[in-house]
Amino acid sequence: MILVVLILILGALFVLLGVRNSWRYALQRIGGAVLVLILVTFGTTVLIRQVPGEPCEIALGTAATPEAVAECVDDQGLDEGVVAQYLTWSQQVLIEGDLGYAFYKNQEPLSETIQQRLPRTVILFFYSQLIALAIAVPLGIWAAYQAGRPSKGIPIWILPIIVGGIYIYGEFITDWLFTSVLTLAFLLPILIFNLFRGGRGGDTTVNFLAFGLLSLPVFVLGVILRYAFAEERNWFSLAGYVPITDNVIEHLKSIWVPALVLGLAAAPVYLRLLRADMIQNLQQDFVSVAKAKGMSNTHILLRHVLRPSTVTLMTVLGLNIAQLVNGALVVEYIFDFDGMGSYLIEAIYRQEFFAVQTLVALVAIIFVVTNMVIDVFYSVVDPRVRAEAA
Amino acid sequence: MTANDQPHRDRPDDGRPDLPNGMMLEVDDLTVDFDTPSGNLRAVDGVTLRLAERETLAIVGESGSGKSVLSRTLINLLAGNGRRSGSIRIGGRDIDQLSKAERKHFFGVEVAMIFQDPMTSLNPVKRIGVQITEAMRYHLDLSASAADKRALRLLELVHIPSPAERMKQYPHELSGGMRQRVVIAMALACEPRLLIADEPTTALDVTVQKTILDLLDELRQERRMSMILVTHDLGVAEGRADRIAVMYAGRIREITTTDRLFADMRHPYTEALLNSIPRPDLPSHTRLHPIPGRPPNLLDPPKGCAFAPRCRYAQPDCLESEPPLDGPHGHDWACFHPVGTPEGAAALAANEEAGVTAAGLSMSESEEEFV
Repeated sequence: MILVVLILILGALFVLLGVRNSWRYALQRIGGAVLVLILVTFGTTVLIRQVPGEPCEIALGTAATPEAVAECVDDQGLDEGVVAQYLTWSQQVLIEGDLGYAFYKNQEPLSETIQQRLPRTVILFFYSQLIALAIAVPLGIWAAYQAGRPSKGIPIWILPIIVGGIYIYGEFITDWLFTSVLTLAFLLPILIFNLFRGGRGGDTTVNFLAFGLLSLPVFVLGVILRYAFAEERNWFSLAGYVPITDNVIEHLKSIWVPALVLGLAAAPVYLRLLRADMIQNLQQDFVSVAKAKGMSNTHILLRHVLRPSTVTLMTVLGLNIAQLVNGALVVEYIFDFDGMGSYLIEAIYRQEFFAVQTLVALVAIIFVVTNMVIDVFYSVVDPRVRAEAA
Repeated sequence: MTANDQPHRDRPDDGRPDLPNGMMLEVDDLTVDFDTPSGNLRAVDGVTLRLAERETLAIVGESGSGKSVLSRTLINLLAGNGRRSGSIRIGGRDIDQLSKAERKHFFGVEVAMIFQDPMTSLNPVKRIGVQITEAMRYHLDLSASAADKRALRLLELVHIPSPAERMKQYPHELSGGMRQRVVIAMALACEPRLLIADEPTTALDVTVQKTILDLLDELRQERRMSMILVTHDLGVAEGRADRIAVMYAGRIREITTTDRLFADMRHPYTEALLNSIPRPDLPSHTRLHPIPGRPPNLLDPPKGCAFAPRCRYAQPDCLESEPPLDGPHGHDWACFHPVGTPEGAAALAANEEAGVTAAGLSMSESEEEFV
């Protein structure tokens, strides 16, 4: 039933966009999605049962009698074959849509846990991608523009020499704050000068910063920022998530640092992709034509080159959104953020088989749907795709 | 002649001043250098040009002769590693003396350009209508509806059928010939007085070439435009240009009226170029004579005349110094031993006698090379 509705919606969307063979294409996509869902959930079902340990013992606690454990095993069907177990589970969850409990006689139904936690992760991810794009898009455009101009900047290899010099000298400076300020006092003017006046040097500077950020692992950045903003200062609240409807300020205070960490991790990737595509498209003849028409650089960059240059960025953005639970895993853990990522870790530790299976199914559905949406966006960005699709 | 004598013109600032001494374009000693990883490359070397109002000048030369760089420099399209010296005056105004505000609405308005390949000249993700109107809206500050109306008229002008539908289409929905018409309409959008056409028909098939060239002729006459037609095809230049400039290795080697160039050429390169293309006025099965050798490496140009190593007339003095571009009655050439003069005949006879030119080129044609 749901499948038919989905096919109809997707097909109608393709017809609206003028894709050739809309209905066949929609059918193909939905069919593929169902196949992915089945393979992924079955794989999870098999693999999670390879983990050593007895889930019923964990669920009932150490005080449980052997009879109670045996009853639990029988009740959950854990003595049956994996395929039979999978069929029972998929019948209940995938077809009837009843998510049930995380595991045997758990306190609250899984659907309630998901309802409570999924929106938090989604909002966290939404903010993080907003931050990433807010950093990556302007800097990517700027870097690509600067890359085609003669270099006037201060050579970037001076930076490590300065930083190195300060830190060697810093042996004699015990005040770390003074050392940091000294470093910034040297670095910032050079970086800012290069960024705005450097020509190709500006591009080099942006790349330098991007690679610096890229080589900083999420957990390092997360721990540093948690220390800086949640423990040294009270700028971030570890007290738990506050919905935006309760208090906007408190809501932002409860989410901005993990969002920033995720955003900073994604930004350099987006920046590099956008920059590369922009540089490629800036070589196109239509850019010369637009210049010959006397259009301003801003107009050429934003109106002519940006849109066709977002295809790779969109692909990766789609993949990132699709694995939002994975991405949020570490960050949610570091910041004690009660989202889907931290819940999935808990579920695996407690061997809550059904919770893990259902969550994986959920992630797979999000993954497939996001990528379908991205495919639709391709044809919005590039009219030629509409004619070629399917 | 005042602007009011031109009823078909609807340029909004039609009151612009008449050109001083009737010259649309004055280029003086223009030199363009590029910084490349392997050294300095001088693509255009001391070019001086005059183009009168309503005149068409063809710039002819092989690939790498600097004709494209020259034309792109005229519309301020120099790559980031390029440097220019010498002056360019368009419509009597020195492009280096323009104020920032004038400069903003100068290129694309006073002077416009058509490019070689219509398949890549249009932005694939923007509708035709938007691409034609954007320059009008930016430079002439027209409203969206006024710009749309003008774009429709332009598309009619370049003979595109059902223009209203075309406005909503994307470039990939149009054929090559249609796209080049759109590119032309785009170039004409702000009513330029100078149109630079860089190989406008090279990427099109022969049947479409003629219609596009006819269209350009028609528009030029209707709109009182001057035109620079850059081409490697002397045949195209012959039918369309008032005057022809032959370029080789960044310099103009010969420049004169089209008739005189074909009837009474002076530069050995012009002669060689003409002998290397099929001509309808010659009997069929006339052997073509390819020009031996290759164009010089501009990173390390030879001393003396750049054509000397490939020239059948080359004498020792050609290898010593660069001949100046000069001549009587508006026919300038840069050669010490010009074709059709006693000096030229003597040089050719001497070389044939020796069997080899002063630059070491064999005078016997090595035909098997081309079989």
